[in-house]
Amino acid sequence: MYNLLFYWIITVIIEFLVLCLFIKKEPSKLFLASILINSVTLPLATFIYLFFYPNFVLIEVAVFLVEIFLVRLLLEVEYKESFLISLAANLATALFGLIFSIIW
Amino acid sequence: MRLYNVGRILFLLLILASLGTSWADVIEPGEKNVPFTYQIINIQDYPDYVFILHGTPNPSYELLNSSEFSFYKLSVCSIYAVPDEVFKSVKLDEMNDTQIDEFLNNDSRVARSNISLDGLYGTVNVANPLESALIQLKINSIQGDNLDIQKEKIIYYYNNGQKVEKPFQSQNQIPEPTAPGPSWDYYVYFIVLPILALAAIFYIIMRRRSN
Repeated sequence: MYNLLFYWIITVIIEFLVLCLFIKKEPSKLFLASILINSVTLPLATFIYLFFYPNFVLIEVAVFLVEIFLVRLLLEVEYKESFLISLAANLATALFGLIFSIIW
Repeated sequence: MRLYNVGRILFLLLILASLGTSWADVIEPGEKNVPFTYQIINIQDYPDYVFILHGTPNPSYELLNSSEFSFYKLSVCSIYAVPDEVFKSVKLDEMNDTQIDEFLNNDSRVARSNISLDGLYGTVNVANPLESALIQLKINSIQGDNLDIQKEKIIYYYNNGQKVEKPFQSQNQIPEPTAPGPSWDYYVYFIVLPILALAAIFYIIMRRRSN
C-alpha cells in the first residue's frame, strides 16, 4: 500500500510542477487540480494495469486523453492548452516511473 | 493546434502502445519480489554438530543456529552438518572458497543434506499482500555423511501482519498461499479516493456554473 501512496504523491507533485510551468498563477488552485485529477486517474489506471490489462503505454494514453478533459474543466483553459499540459504531465510522470523502475 | 497534428501525435502514441514494455534484468512494473527465509526448528537437539549453509554463488559458508536465515535471491544453497571437533580442527575461516566447497562436498566426515534451498519464492503483483515466506526445516537424522532434513511447514507473512501456516505434503511441492482478501486501505485507494475526487470535481463545476 505504501508504494501506491508514494506513486500517488510523486505524481501529484510532478503534475503540479508541470501545471505551474504552463499556468503561472494561483498555485493553490493548480495544486488542488493536480490532487483531484490524479485521485481519479491514478487509482483507476493502476487498478486496470494490475488486474485487467497490464499495458503501460496504452493505459498512459488513456489517462492522457481523460486528463485533457479534466484539465480543461478544472482550470478553464482551451483544449489546445489542456492537450499540451496533459501530454507534458503524463510524459513527465511516465518518464519518472520508467527511470524509477529501472534504478530501484 | 491543427487537427492533423493532434492526429499525428495520437497515432504515434498508439504505435508506442502496441510495442512491448518488458525490460531485461528489471522487475516488471507492478511486480515485487517475495523472499524465502528458513529456520531449523530442532537444531538444539544436535549440540555436537555445527550446521553450515553453503551455496552458489554465495554464501561461501555461514554458520547456522536456531534463528531464521536468508540469502541472496538467486543463490541455491544446501545445509551441511560438521561434527564439532572436526569443525574446530579444519579451520574453515583459513580456507578459500574452492577449499571450502571441496571440504563440504567431499570430506567423508561432513553430513550433507538431501534438499536444496532457493533464495526467492518468486515475484507477485504489488497489490498482493504477500510479503515473505518462511520455511521451517526439521532434522530427522544424521548418519555418516547423510543429513536427513525435511521441510516441515511454510509460513506466509502478509503486509497486514497476518500469517498463514501450511504443512508440506510433498517435499518437492511448495504449498500454495491462500491470500487473505485485500485490506481496507486498498478499497480506500481504488474505490473511495476516485469517487471522492469525482464528487469534488462535479461540485466545483456545478458551483462555478451557478455563479
